[in-house]
Amino acid sequence: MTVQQKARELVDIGRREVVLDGERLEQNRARVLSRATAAAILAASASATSSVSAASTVGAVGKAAGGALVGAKVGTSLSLAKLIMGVAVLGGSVAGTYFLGTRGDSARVPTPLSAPPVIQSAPPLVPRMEVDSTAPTIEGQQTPAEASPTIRSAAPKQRPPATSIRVHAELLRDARSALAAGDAAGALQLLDGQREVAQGPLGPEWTAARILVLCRLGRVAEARQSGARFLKRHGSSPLAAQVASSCARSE
Amino acid sequence: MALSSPSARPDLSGAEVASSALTLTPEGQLSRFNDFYTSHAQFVARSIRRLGIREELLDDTLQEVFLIVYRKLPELDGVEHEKTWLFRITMNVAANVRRQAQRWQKKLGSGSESLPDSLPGPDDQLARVLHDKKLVLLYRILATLDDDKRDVFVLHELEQLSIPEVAAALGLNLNTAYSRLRAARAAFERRVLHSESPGSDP
Repeated sequence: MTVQQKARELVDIGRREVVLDGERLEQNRARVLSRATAAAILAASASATSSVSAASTVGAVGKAAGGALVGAKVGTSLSLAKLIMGVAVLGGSVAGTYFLGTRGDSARVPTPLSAPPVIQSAPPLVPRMEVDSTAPTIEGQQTPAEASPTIRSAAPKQRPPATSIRVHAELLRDARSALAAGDAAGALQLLDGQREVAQGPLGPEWTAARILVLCRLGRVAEARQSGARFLKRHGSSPLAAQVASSCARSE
Repeated sequence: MALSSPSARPDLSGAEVASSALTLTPEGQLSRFNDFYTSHAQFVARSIRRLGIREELLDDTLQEVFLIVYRKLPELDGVEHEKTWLFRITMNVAANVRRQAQRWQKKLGSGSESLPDSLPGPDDQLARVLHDKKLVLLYRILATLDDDKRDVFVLHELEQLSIPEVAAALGLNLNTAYSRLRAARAAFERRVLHSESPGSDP
């Protein structure tokens, strides 16, 4: 076999390469949609007043993003997620960014490299929106056809576990508010009270938030330990800029 | 490659594209995102890997690319070659990721796993993922090519874009793209030749 033939063989192998199997493909699709949705929720909570329309929209987005949470099922439940898009367009410039910028942090945290913190310029304390806390999440029995902003009055008989993207995003928002208000201990309590968020699509957001909270509490050793792990796993995330600029970095 | 419902979006001029975000329906936009993701996610994943991003950062990097895509969907109507448009985004994100990874490494000091200063070869993790030894060899060779040559080679030889498309994706003039391709092919073949030492070529 000549060198040219060997080179051609390698090129042919490269052309046929499949990097992502079906499950990984759908997990990534779900996480993109979840992150976009979380950004939309956080943007809405930062900029909207407690208007009914805003609340119902976020409620719908929460449910829609819940569809994205279902991983491999996402392909069949996308109609449920379609309402994401309208809100995500509203928050267009913030998709892919996060809530972690707080007033307290902004003074010492440099601008992240790839995307600015989403809420940094927003009022740190906004009235808590009347987000549809009774609406069923995706884990309920709702069918895709039922997903609409008007569904918010349809309370499920039994509230499902707090695993929807909306609930997770709201937790992160509340933790942010606590941190912005100077209540780092309260923020930590909120985060640690729902450790399951760390296992969901917004897990990196949860972990990064906790690192910043630990910094604020002066628990530097813990922050550094967690920060090193975080940056190793999520060094490409915009969150990494904030974590690396926090006390978690080594001096 | 074409979007699934082009009829829903008549051709737009540049000015119209700028405001098209306001006119897209949520349904149309989600549908478009999903079609686009389904069509191109493998391409992006391959590109990320070939652009030297460590295996453990592949998923996050892919998500960053598609979050940008998600925001820029309205621009797509004015894009002539989706794949070159997408590759430019991927290339920029990958460059950021590499810079960030190196920066975090410096900030974190020596306590964590070391990162290469330049493009990594197939690390252990990648080698574990890639069961095909020849694919590992391909990555090893790609990692030794200069960035500018490798980009042209990957897009033209592996992703089979035409040279005008490659030139557009990389912002090169045609002559430069052709000359880099020639140099890349020669370098690739030299590496193939050198790989024929015992144990490196099954």
